[in-house]
Amino acid sequence: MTEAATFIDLRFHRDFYAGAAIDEAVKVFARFGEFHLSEAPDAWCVRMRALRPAQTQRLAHELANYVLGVTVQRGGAT
Amino acid sequence: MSALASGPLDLVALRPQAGTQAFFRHRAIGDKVLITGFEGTWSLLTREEFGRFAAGAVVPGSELHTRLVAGNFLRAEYDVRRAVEAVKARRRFLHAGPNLHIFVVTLRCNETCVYCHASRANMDQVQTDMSPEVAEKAVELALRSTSPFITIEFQGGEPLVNFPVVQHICRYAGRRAQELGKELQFTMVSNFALMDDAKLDFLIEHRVQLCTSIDGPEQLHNAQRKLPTMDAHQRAVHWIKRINQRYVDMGLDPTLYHVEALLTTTRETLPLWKQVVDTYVGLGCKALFLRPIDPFGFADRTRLRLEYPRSAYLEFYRNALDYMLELNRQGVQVLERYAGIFLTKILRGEDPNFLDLRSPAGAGIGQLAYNYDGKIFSCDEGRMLHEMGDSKFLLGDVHTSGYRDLVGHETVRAMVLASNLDGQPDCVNCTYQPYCGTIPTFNYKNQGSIFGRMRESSVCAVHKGIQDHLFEKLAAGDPAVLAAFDRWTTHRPREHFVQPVQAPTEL
Repeated sequence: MTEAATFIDLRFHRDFYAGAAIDEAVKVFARFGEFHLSEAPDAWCVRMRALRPAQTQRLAHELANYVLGVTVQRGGAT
Repeated sequence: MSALASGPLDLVALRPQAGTQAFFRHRAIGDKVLITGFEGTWSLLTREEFGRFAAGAVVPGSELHTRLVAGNFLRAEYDVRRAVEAVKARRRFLHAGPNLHIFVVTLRCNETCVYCHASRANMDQVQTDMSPEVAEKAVELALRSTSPFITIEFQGGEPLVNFPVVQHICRYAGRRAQELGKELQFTMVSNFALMDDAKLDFLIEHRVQLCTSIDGPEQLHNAQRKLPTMDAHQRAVHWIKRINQRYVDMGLDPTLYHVEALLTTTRETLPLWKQVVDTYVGLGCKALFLRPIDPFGFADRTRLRLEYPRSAYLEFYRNALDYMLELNRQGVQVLERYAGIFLTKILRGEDPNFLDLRSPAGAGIGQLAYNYDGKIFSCDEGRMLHEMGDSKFLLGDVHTSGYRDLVGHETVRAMVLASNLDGQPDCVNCTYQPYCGTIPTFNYKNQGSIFGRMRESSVCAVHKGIQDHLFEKLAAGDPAVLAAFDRWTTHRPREHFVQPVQAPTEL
């Protein structure tokens, strides 16, 4: 497997995160990476990698923080 | 009637004038007013003094002015550098990483406790034992923590039931910690009923700090912690005395090295505050943690029988604390841990890093819990909820998760933000904010949200009530009480329990 093929999977639990916050965050960060959204029964799932492979971990952290911030701004998960 | 008389503060009549004060919060304590600053400084003012402070009418050069400057409460003299250093000292734990690693080596337990938090399994449920392979992988993850100091805490169920794995972890982690240059300590929470001389020899040799549960006098303990032989108290007491004597025989200071015991306060405990304290003192215990019951495990199912109004708990707490202070006055040194934690923050400006009483809470960033099957949780309460059928606080497992995956997990992020009191509604305005903490799993279990609603939170009520009582004591200024508080906040490290640099002989 090449470094460029490495994805990170993020799981945002539905009880803690708003789905709309994930949509908003992915739009903001879209130009920095590749994002695939899916849903599990208990979580919103994001499979992602940065355009620059070395930045994937950092991008994941930034995206997760952004999602959390938007969720709080919205007043919570629901 | 003057706005400065006793009773609730009439802020309208006080005509507060912003502009001269630095940021502060306030709360009436008896006939005085407590003010706390952003960085945790505090001062108790008379109502007349508070009136002048609130109105911006403190005369420069006056005694009150000097006192307020010393507490960093006046804007014109505000020392930003001092405030920054104070906040850094209080939040030092943020730079560490998880130091507490809870290993649930089995769910099996020989006792049946009416309030069991741990969600036990029967003794024939051997599938709930941790395997040596899972244990080694859990140790490797624990030792990858960025914290230079690691504590592995053996829990269950009853950890002595799976003693071979406890032994394996002690040997394996001891060796790996030396290879990795980590400072390592072991603790075990056990009911001691399955202890024997061979096990004790091993635990003493490997410097495992031993903790047990004592629910108070014998009759109460045996009614709540049930063995088929109905002698749980006698067995625990027997081994407490044996272990404490072993420490004495080793030349260790018994005031520092002794079995720690934990109390779980049920409805039956409340009227027995004096007997509970006397039981602990009689056993040679130097500390008593007056913990209210948790809503996890069996306690969730039996809480209608065990629970009580928090006002009743606070009356129990005040009675027990006052009695302990009276014993201290008579020369008996026994401390109450809740008070010790709060007072260390209040009087020393430091955080003792008790993970359930800090901001942000320790879940995921101060502790991790490893279940018998390799699943990893943000904290032991998260694991208990999993055993109750709710896996929201499951972060990963020892087979596939990396350290960064765990501490940076999306659920941990949410828990950290939820327990950061700098952003918690109500807490941001609370006078006790610099000294307090909230527990996201507790909030979630009781109120359906990891953020919680503090005005309805029983934990908040307990924390406020305890701190009210402590500040009433500080305001009264009894020298004997202040001397006891000074002892309670003096940290004496138990260096014997830190694993030695040289490998144990049997490695």
